[in-house]
Amino acid sequence: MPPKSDATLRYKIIDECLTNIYKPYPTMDDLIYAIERKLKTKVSRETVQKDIGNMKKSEADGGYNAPIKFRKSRNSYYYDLESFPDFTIQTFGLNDKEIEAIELAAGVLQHFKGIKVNDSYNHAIDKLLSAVDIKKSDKEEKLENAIQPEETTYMRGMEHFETLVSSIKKKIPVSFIHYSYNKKQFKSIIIHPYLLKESNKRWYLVGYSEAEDHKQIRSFGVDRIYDPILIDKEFIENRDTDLKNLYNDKIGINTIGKIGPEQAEEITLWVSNDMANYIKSMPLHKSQTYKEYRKMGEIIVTLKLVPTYELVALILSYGKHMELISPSWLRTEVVKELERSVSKYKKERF
Amino acid sequence: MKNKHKPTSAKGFIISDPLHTRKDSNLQLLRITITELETKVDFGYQATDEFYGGGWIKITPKTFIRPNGGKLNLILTNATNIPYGPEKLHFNSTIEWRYFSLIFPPINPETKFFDLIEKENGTDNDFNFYGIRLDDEKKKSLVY
Repeated sequence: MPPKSDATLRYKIIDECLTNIYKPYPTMDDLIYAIERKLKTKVSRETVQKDIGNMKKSEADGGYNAPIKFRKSRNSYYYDLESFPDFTIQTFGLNDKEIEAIELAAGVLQHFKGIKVNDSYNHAIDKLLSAVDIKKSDKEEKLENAIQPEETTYMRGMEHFETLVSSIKKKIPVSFIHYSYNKKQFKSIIIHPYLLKESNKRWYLVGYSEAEDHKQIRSFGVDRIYDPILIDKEFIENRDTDLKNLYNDKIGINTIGKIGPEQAEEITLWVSNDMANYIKSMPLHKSQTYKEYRKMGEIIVTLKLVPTYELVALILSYGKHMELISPSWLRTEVVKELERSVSKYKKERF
Repeated sequence: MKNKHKPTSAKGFIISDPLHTRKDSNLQLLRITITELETKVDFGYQATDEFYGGGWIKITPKTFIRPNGGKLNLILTNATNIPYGPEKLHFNSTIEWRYFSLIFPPINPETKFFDLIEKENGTDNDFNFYGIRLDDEKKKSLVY
């Protein structure tokens, strides 16, 4: 891999500063400090200004089309994420640090070996691991001993993964049998599949369902799908739904209550001082903002989300350390759920 | 937009959710696949609180299909996910379910309907379905 130029390294540091959610809106002094600290060399204000100008240039002109804006009131720089959500230049090329990250990822992938995704999957992981092994053979420590991700368990239905991916790629409708855990009923479904979505370690097939009471885009847990068969039928393309962002404003998949267009709502949570640092260091969702910092360390956070059962489960998982303040209708649901739980525990049933 | 993929040969078809006369919420006839090799009928069974612990299921090996109400009886050739009687599959609770398939010899693709009989003149507990319709508008060719 050819060495990166100093300018490229500076671009990446500027990008890191502009995408740092814990210290947004860096000033020119912040950028200079970050570059000098990382590269251990002096850099002038003019150089950084020129770098920003170069990053904003089009790809044809050697830039990154970076939507960098300057906010006069705060004397600071930022990416225009409203127009370019999740923008970063990090997808352009790989530096040594990123190569190292891939080595780590390869180690993580090793833990997924054996899951029946498809026949080629294990082979691909083996190839990747052997490639990484060649690169790291001179290293003193094996990375796989340094990382320990959570074990992944086999999920029923993964044996259909390859068929479903193939049907999505080739745009072929699929007939399958679905079992609903909630309704305790089977249904014969014909779906025009668009994507496979993972949520909370479960996979869901998303597509247009032809069922009489569906006739819209629906998701089906892959673990509840039986015997998928590809059928020769006109494929119904998705034209109206932004699938890429379909789940951006959700934690999980399963919306609570309403039928019809889903609307993200402002969710306000109280977080105890014991839990506040954890929630600050790993936000519950990328929409998380802080409404109030209290003297004793408690925080009030807001999220912009479509209420889901998975969100309620997440809130309840924090026990006494988290309280849903609003919206009031969802708070009522949470209270009911807690009352049902307490009532269960009050009875000596076992 | 028309699907770009065309099957090399349509050697069979499925009928999803075929119409029939049986009214039973626990046993659902879900799909029929008819090919040159076999007639496969897919079922779903939800255990019920009608029986303690969810009850049990089995299928009689002499189960047959009878195309167009005629005299030809095509006997079961295979069953997946359900045992042949007298062996039984016992459920552990009323929330359990079973997806299973019964395989019979192939039938003429022009067949309009057939009966599936576990026990002629049997009870509601027998897996009997009369007048399973193979409507042309519900037939969807398989992709090979």
